[in-house]
Amino acid sequence: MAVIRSGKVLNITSTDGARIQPPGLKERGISFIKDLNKGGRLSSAAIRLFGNLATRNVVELDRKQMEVYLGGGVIEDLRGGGDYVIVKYKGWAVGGGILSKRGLIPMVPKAVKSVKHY
Amino acid sequence: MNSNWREVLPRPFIKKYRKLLGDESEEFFSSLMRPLRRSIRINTLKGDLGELVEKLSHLSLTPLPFYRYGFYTDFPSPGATLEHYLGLYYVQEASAMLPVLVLDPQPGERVLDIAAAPGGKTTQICQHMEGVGVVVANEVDQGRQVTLRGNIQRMGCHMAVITGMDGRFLRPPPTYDRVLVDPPCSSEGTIRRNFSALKGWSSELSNRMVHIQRGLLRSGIEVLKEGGVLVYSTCTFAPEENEGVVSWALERFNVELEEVRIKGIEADEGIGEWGGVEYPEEVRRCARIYPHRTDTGGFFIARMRKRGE
Repeated sequence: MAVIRSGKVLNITSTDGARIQPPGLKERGISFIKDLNKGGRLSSAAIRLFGNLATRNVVELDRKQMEVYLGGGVIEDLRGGGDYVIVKYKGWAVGGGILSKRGLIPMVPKAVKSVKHY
Repeated sequence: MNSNWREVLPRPFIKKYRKLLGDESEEFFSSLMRPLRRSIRINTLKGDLGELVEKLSHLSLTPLPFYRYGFYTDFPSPGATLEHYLGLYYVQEASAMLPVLVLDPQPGERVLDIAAAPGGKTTQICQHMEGVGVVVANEVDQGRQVTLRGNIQRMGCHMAVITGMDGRFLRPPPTYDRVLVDPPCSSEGTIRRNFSALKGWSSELSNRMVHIQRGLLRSGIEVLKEGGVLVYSTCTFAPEENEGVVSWALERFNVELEEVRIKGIEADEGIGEWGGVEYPEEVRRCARIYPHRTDTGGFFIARMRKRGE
């Protein structure tokens, strides 16, 4: 596996994926770390791929909290000092979030809105 | 939806496929009126097949007879589950899983999917390669690149590389061990899934598609290494877009056709003649998938190997 930087993003790809130079290249592999200029945070794709391995900075949601999370709302009963955390539900790493003073602010792609059964 | 095909299907369509299928045509037309069974492909890039099947048991899965990663599901909206969002599976029509099965990509290879969006076959290729090697997923349409990227990210295909070329203009050097050419087509084989596929249908549509299909196939052959394998597939029944395009390539390029037979599915061989044009005998090595035989969508699949100079 290889890690490639493109602007503010680190992507992971295969060794050959890093080497090949096809015409019209748009992107190699999947995003791993975003917002490098702000210290970096794990991307949603990386969380879905590796998040289950995380043991620290993890928040497990119950069903009611998950409903708020999927809808893009702030989960007010989970608060913190601004840490970026991995959000789990039923043991699955589903995305990221910021534990702020207001509550858990979801950091997930819009595609999560398609989830109706969980 | 009106299930009487005589009232729904365009007359030139009926005439065309009566000519092609003869006595079987009524059964064929009736099958087009029946809704498709939903199917999914389990993504082993996200876990062990057995474990994932167990975790997805609430989807009431029934294995496809021809593909170990493919399952029918009775779940009404498999695209709206958390497990779908997590990339544990891809909602994919059963017959659409066949081209990659025939391509048979191997770990460590360089593979090109020349018209890749929305990414069902691209992510399937990545799965077969077990994350080792590279899959170049080319898509010229910027809007469709977004969908392709989303599916690559969701399915965890880190070995995929996205390019945005017009696939008709790719030129040597021959770089790829395998190439999938699954070009835009008249989509007649998707009628059961989406009846609006017939909306723009006309007897001229296939002739317009042929130019794009030939261009993509030509490029695919040119960037394929000697001894490499290319699969040409469409989701249409139209001989002009299938055996016609394959015959055109056989006349011009140093490729040979290999037999396409898939265990567990009843495929017809390619046809030998259409519209007064005789196709080379070897075109019979291609496979035609008809919904009235297999209870799937329709597909055409050809497998070619590039000869050495």
